Amino acid sequence: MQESVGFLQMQGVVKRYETKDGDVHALNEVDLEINQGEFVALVGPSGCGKSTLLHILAGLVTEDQGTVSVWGTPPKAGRTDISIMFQRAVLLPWRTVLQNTVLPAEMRKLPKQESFARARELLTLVGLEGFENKHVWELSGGMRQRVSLAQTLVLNSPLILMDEPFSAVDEFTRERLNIEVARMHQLANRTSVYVTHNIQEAVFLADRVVAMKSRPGEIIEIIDVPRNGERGLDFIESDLFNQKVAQVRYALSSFMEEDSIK
Amino acid sequence: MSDTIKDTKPRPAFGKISFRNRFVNVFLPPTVLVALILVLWELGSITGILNPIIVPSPIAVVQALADLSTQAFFWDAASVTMRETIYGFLIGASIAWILGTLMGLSDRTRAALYPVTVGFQIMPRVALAPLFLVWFGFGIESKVVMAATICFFPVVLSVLVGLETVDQDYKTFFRSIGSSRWDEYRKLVVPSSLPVLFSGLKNAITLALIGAIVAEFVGASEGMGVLIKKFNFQLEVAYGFATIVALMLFGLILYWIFEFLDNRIVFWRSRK
Ligand SMILES: Nc1ncnc2c1ncn2[C@@H]1O[C@H](COP(=O)(O)OP(=O)(O)O)[C@@H](O)[C@H]1O
Ligand SMILES: [Mg+2]
Repeated sequence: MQESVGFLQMQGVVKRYETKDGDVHALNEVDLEINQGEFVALVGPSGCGKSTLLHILAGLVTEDQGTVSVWGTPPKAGRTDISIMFQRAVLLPWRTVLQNTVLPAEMRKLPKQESFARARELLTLVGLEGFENKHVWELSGGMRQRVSLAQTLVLNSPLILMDEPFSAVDEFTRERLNIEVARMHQLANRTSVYVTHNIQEAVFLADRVVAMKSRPGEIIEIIDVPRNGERGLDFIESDLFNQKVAQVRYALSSFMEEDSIK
Repeated sequence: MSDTIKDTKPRPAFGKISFRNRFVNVFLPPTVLVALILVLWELGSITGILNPIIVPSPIAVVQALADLSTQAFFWDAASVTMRETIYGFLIGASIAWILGTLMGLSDRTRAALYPVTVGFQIMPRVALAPLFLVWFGFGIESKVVMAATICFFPVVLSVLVGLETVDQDYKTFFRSIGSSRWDEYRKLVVPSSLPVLFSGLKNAITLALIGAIVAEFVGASEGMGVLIKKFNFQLEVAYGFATIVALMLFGLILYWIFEFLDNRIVFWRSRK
């Protein structure tokens, strides 16, 4: 089951959305292969199909053409080996932090006691010990994303998909949370696909950065970011980091329209 | 954690200051307004501007109310009307809930049921009261049916709107975690729709009371509607008014019960 090559494959994937003003060509001929244990970041301007790509991997959107396989089978919503985290924390206000965290396991009818134990453990890991019985409205935006992160990890899925998970939280919190994400990824030898429009974030986290363009959504270039050991804040100050950020920015800029350059 | 600190502070939500503010902002204004109207009304009666045979003075109404509250026949009538209201509400709301759910769950049932329901709502159902009398008799049944008929539409609407207001992102999330349709309904759709449902129920309980009284007016041997008619015939206007005030108080109590349940069950409503 654990072949290291082609753990996750997309070939010739095309996706169009029908809208009132004609078709939107969200993805065009996308080929992508991701290996077991890899951390891949998708970067590009908004509208370049990053979410669409991620949702296809999660089985939430179906491609029009091409083939997609995760571990040899097509993705399907609800697969226990795939977990997705969204930009906006989707937490139920009538449930406590702990009850929210355990929800994906509850839906799969996994043993209660073990699920709750794991949820507690994860909440501690993301720095929310003591908040298990609080309600969503008692938490700040950053804390909600932490709950969301714990919730995404509760199934212990080997593939974690994240769609701009921290784009709505302040920069300081985001930095901390990303360090957390990097740790979680390495801890369990997971495979992670992380969508962002922030180049620094992408380079900091990923083994490979996939640069995309829009209209139609295509992959421009894939940039390797060699990893030596655990990445911490010192990595951000290294020459390698700056060099890779420049490389990604350069790849993106050749396709950017004036208004989308930040 | 920088963001954990600011959220662990206790909030003075139910502290003394907050209670005082609540009193000043919530209870005081309507109390002052009502007191003012009552004083003017009483003055009108004392000076003879208002004819006591047509409009009794507030003090006379209060005296009549105090007298009624010691009379067994009054409480018998109250108990009849309350039973009609509550049974009518329970039946009407249950049917409405089933209809609303059927409509919310499938477009086809909705296409079939919705126009019929709206048509029924538009029909002046008060006009059905004489028919109900023929169909269900002079007793409590025809009033229960009237109350149920009048109160059911707001519940249908609130169930429908409630089912529709479920956030699309939450539905996607539930799909992503492999939720069955039943689990989605039970654990997402129903709780999400509760706030709207309760506003419908609060509306319905007051409408049920109106339905019961109207049906009693059309034909009944007991109940508060009968009392009001009787007092008016006997020109006991103060007693007629007192019965209406009592009805209002009972209506308020019913409403408050649902307000209380709403705040208890939908405890997250006023939070973000
Ligand atoms: N459900 C949808 N219906 C119609 N158009 C959509 C839908 N989802 C996305 N799109 C369009 O597809 C394109 C790619 O969207 P998306 O994958 O969300 O990009 P990104 O996540 O990179 O911002 C955009 O132009 C967007 O407007
Ligand atoms: Mg997106």
